Amino acid sequence: MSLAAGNPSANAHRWVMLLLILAAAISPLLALRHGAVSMGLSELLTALNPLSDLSARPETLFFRQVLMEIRLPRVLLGMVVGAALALSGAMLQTLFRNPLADPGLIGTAAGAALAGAMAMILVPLTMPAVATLLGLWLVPIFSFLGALMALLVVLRLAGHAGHLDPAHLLLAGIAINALAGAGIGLLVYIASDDQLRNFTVWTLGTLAGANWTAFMLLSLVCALTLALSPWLARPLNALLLSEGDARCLGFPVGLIKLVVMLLAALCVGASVAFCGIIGFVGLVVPNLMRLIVGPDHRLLLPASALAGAVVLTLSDLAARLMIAPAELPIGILTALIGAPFFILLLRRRVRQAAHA
Amino acid sequence: MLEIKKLSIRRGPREVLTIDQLSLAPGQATAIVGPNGAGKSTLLLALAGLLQPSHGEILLDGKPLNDWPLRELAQRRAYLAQQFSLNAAFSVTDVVALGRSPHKTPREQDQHCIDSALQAVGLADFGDRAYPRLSGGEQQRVHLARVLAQLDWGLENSSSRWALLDEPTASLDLGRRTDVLKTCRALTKQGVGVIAVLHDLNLAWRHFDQVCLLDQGLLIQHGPPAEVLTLNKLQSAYATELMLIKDAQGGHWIAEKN
Repeated sequence: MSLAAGNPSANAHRWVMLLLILAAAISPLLALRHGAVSMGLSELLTALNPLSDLSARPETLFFRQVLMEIRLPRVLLGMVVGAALALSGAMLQTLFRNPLADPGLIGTAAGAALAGAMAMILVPLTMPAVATLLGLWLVPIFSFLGALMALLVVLRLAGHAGHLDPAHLLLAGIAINALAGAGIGLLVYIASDDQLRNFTVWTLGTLAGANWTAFMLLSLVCALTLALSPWLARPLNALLLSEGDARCLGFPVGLIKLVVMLLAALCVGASVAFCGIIGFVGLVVPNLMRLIVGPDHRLLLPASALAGAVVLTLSDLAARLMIAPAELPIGILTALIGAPFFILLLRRRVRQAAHA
Repeated sequence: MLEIKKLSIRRGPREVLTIDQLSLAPGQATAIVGPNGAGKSTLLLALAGLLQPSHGEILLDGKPLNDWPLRELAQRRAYLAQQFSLNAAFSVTDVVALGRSPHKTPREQDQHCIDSALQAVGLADFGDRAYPRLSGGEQQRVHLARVLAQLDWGLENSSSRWALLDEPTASLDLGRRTDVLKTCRALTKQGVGVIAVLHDLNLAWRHFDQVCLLDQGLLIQHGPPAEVLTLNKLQSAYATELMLIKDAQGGHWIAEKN
C-alpha cells in the first residue's frame, strides 16, 4: 500500500517485480532450448524468428518444426497454467482467509477433474450428441463447472453466516477430495484401456498434451483475471480484515466474492481440463510472494502470476530432463516440492497458535 | 440525523432487539450500556448496516440505510468491531490506509489524514511497524485510527458522519482508555456522532453526552447520563445491588455493593 513515495520497501518491491519479469522472460528461453533435442541460443532465436530464411539450413528448419509444434505451445501453456494456478491460489487464500487454501487441497481441482473425467469418459458414451456439439470445449466447460460446484459446496459446508473456520474448510476439502476420488475411481472401471492410459497421466498432471488451443484458452482466462485484478486488489485487501469490515469500507462484498469464485473456477477448471491436477503451485507461490512483497494484493496478484509462470516453466523443464528421454508427470514434481513447503507452513501456524 | 423507526431484529425465532423510536444527533457522544445479552452489539451492527432488521428501518439523514450506495455510506459511517482476526503482515500505515478506501482524495491528503489519525491514538511513530507484531491494545488503537481515517479525521468535512464503536476501550489499560475517550470527544468536535458500546458505566457517565440503557432487547431509556443512570433503573437492569458514591468534587460513581 506504501502511500509514501520513495519508501524503502516500495523501492525493494520494484526490484522484486523487475527480477520476476526478468525471470519470466529468461526461464521460457531455457525451457525452449532443452529437451529431447537441444539447441543453442542463437539457433533457437533464428528458428523462432519468422523472418529468417531457413531453406538452406535443414537442421534449423527441423528445430523450427519441433519448436512450433511441440515445445513452444508446451512452454507457453506451462507459463499461463502456472500463472492461473498461482492467481487462483492467491485469491482463494484471501477469500477463505486461510493461507493453506489451495485449489488442490480444498477440492476445487478434484471437482474439476471429476467433471472433466466425466466429460472424457461418460459423456461420449451416454450423450454423444452433446459431445459432438461441444467438441473441443466439452472437457474445459465440464471442468469449469466442476470447479465452481466444488467451490460452492465447500463454502456451503464450511461456511456459516459469513464465518469460515479454517479447520472446517480443510475438512470440507478432504470430503470433496474423497468423493471426487471415488467418482474418478468408478470412471476408471468404465474406461477403455486407451482412455485409461491417457487418463492416468492426466490425473497426475502433465503439460504433454499442450497445443495452441489450450494455450489460447488459458491465456484468455489469465488475461481476464489479470485485467480484473486492479479492481479486485483493494477489496481483497479489505477482506483480510473481515467481510463485515470490508462492507463497512464501502466494498460490494457479495459481488467481489462471486467474481473471485468465478475467476478461480475458470483458472482451475481450464488448467485441469488441459493439464490435469498440478498441485501445490497455488499454495507455494502465493505464500512465497506474500513473504517477499507483502500481503497487498496490488502487488501480490501480479507477482504471484509472474512467479507461478516461472515456477511451472522450470518444473516442466526439470520434469522433461530428469529421466530423459522419458518424462515425469509434472504434478508429481510440484507435489514433491510443494508438500514439504505445506508441512513447513503448517508447523509455523501450529507454533503461532501455541504462542497466541 | 440517525433515526430508528419501529425496529425489530430477530436471530432465529427469538426477537433480540425491539426499539420503537430513537433519534441520535451528530456531534454528540452516545454510550450504549446494559447487561450482557441486552442487544448492545446487535444495535450497533444494525446501525452499521451489517444486520438486516426484520421489521422497521434505520434512516441516515432521512434516507433508509439500504438505499445508500455502499461507498457513500462508507464515507459517512465507520464501524469498529470488538474483535479482529487480521494477521496479514501489513504495516500499521497500511492498515490505517484501508480506512481511506471509500474516499477519492489526493494522496497527500490521505497521508496527512493517516498521520494525524495515528497521532491521535498515540501511535505516531508506529507507521512502519508490522501490524501482527503489536500487542492487543496497540492493534485495537490501530483499528481506531483506521476508523478516524475513514471519517476524514483532520480534514475539512461538514457532512454528518458517524463512528460506531463496539467496546473501544476493551483491551486498553487505564491511561490509554482515557486517551481513547478523549479522542471520541475530539471526534464529536469535528461534527462526528460517536456511538459506543461500553461496559464501564462510570466512563459513560464521565465522557458521554447521552446514554441508551438497554435490557433484554428493549430500550429502557435514552437521555443524559444523570437521568438514565439512576440507581433504580440500573439495579433492575443488572439485577444486582449497586450503590452511588459521591466524591469530594461532586462526581458520581457507580459501584457494586460488597
